[in-house]
Amino acid sequence: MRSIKKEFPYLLFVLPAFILYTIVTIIPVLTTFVYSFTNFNGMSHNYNFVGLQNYIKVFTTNNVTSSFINSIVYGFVTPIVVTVLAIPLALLLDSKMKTRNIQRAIFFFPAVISSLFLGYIWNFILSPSDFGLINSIRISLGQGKLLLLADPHMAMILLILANVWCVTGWHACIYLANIQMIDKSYYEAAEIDGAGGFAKFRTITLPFLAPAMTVSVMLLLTGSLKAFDLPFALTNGGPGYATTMVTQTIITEGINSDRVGFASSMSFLFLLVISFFALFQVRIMRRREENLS
Amino acid sequence: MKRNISLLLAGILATAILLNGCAPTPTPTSSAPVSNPTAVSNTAVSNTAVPAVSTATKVAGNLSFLSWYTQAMYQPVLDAFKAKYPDVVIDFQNVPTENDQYTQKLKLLANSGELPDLFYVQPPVTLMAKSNYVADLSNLDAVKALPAGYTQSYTYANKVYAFAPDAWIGGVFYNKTLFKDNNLSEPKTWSDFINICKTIKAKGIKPISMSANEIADLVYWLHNTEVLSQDAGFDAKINTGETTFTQGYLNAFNTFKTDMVDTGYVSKDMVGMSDDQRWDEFATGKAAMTISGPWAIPTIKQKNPNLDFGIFPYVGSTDDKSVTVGAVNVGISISANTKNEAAAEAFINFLGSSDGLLLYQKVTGNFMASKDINYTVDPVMEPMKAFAQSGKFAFPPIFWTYTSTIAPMFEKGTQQIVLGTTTPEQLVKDIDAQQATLSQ
Repeated sequence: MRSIKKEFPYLLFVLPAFILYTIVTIIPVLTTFVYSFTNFNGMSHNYNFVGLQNYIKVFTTNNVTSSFINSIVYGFVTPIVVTVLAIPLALLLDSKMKTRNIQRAIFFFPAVISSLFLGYIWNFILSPSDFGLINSIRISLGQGKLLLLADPHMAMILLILANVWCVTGWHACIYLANIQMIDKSYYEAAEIDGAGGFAKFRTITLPFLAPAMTVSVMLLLTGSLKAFDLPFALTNGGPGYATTMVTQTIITEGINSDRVGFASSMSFLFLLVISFFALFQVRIMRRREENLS
Repeated sequence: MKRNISLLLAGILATAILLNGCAPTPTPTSSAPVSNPTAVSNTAVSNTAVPAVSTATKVAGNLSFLSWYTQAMYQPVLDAFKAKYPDVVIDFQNVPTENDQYTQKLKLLANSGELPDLFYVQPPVTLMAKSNYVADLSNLDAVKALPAGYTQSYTYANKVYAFAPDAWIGGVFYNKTLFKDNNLSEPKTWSDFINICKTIKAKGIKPISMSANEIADLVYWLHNTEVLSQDAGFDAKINTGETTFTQGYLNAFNTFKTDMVDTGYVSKDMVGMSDDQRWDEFATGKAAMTISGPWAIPTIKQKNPNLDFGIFPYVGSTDDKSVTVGAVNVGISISANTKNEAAAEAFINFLGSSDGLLLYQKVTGNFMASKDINYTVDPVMEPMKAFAQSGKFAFPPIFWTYTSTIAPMFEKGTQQIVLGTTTPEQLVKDIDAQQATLSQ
């Protein structure tokens, strides 16, 4: 009790945010969980408890399972590609170039624009029609047009590349901030010992970037798994169901189809999937941080 | 200390949850199947009956209106209604229709019990009617004056729940210059249409341009002319289980595949094209034809003011099977819990008057059910007037109870047929399986 009295002023500061968080996050999550066991249609207040039927439907509906697979592919490939590109980019942006400030602004620029807007821009660039940017250039050079977003395999690859383009600069800035905190004396000592550029990167830069990498990969993983705006604007889930993500399926198969109960079960299962992967990733990478230090 | 703080926070969390209330206690619903909105329903609706709108009170007070159309478009109607009923103050709200924003807003308001007095609904009205959100409009003069074809889509259990005096009618826009240069004329049959496609394609021009989500219109075309021309109520029977999508659509999908996909008239690039890109192709003469409705005309003219284009209806295997694309427009409903029945009812009856219909036609730009008013449409659309008056138009998705789930399956499925990743047989089988699941 005495400690509660002592901590009470601090609790008061936290309380408004905590209550707000409870109202806008915790309660909706719990309500969604309750709805996932019902046949609530989003409008009528009369609905029945249906047990695990909605959860069973998630695993037996073709479109839903394929969208889970699409989300996992998108969610795992994007962090790998972004991390591989963002770290060298950060090193480049930390180098002594005259134009480095302009370059930092240019690479960070996509993070400022809405993903939805960027999706529509990339849709124009990658359009399979004669009027898409790439195809119009090819046609003007006397070459045939490419299917691009109309090719189901290429569509996913192009979607990932568009997302990588959008987010690499932002994550490079995370790495850049960490690189700038590394004491220069480590590099000087390594040079004295005869270490080359790659050796300095591997033994000094990379270990110091480990915490930043953990955070960056976690943000990329959760953000990519939850993606909706960019896939929606770029491909609208097509062609066919080739790039339909879980988030879009939740809306089309659940909310728009007046099956809020079913949508809730998909949402809750997806929440568990994302949580599992995020926790697993953080655990593995924290262990890596400890090993490197 | 940490444990005490955790306990305290958990207590606050629990209190907050209690104060916000839990989910409402589920109550038993009727297990009756969804009824055919045009047939007499023999299944009892478990909720209390919705009273028809009464007609007694003075027309005054506030009237809230959630509109599909913007206030700028609706202002002449609002001004004329105000002139007739000066004591009514309309609180007009518009929600954009793109990306289902209007539908989502309407559902939110319905669920929270805050529906405005008047609002637009799309067909079918089954869910709104079963949930007692909309009032019965069957006895309103404006509704009684409508032909059956204009009330069918908004009927449930023999009651009409929305007023829609207009319909959008579309067809196949074609480039008149390209047709003339190739000695082509408007087709009278599906075979004529395929021959046109063959001729145009041989000249290196795309016969028809469709956006990714509208390739399915070609399937609806074949269904309209080969099935609905013989049985206008076919799609409504799917809802009651009397027939299936396989029985109605397999032939259409097979014909679409052999006549349009295998021949290359519908090309793979279409599955990745947006609506705007499709209009670019048509407006610049890279494609000779495309399917749409009157709303597309300003877009086409903006992209190419010099384009000479016309429209022809959907044509069938014989020249008497023409049933073009079209549907009754979104309708206006009155909330079952409206606080101003008299004013809401007066508004709908005003819209149904000759003056009201003329003004309303300018808002929607559509064809009107009434033959008694003289209105103009874009000259390009004049040939479609006869179809509006004869009722020979259809857009199958509006008849399906579960159109929100089934229509996207048609869209995605036709894309997959074009890509070769599914077959017509598999697609209709999947659609029927989904219909069965939703009907449980």
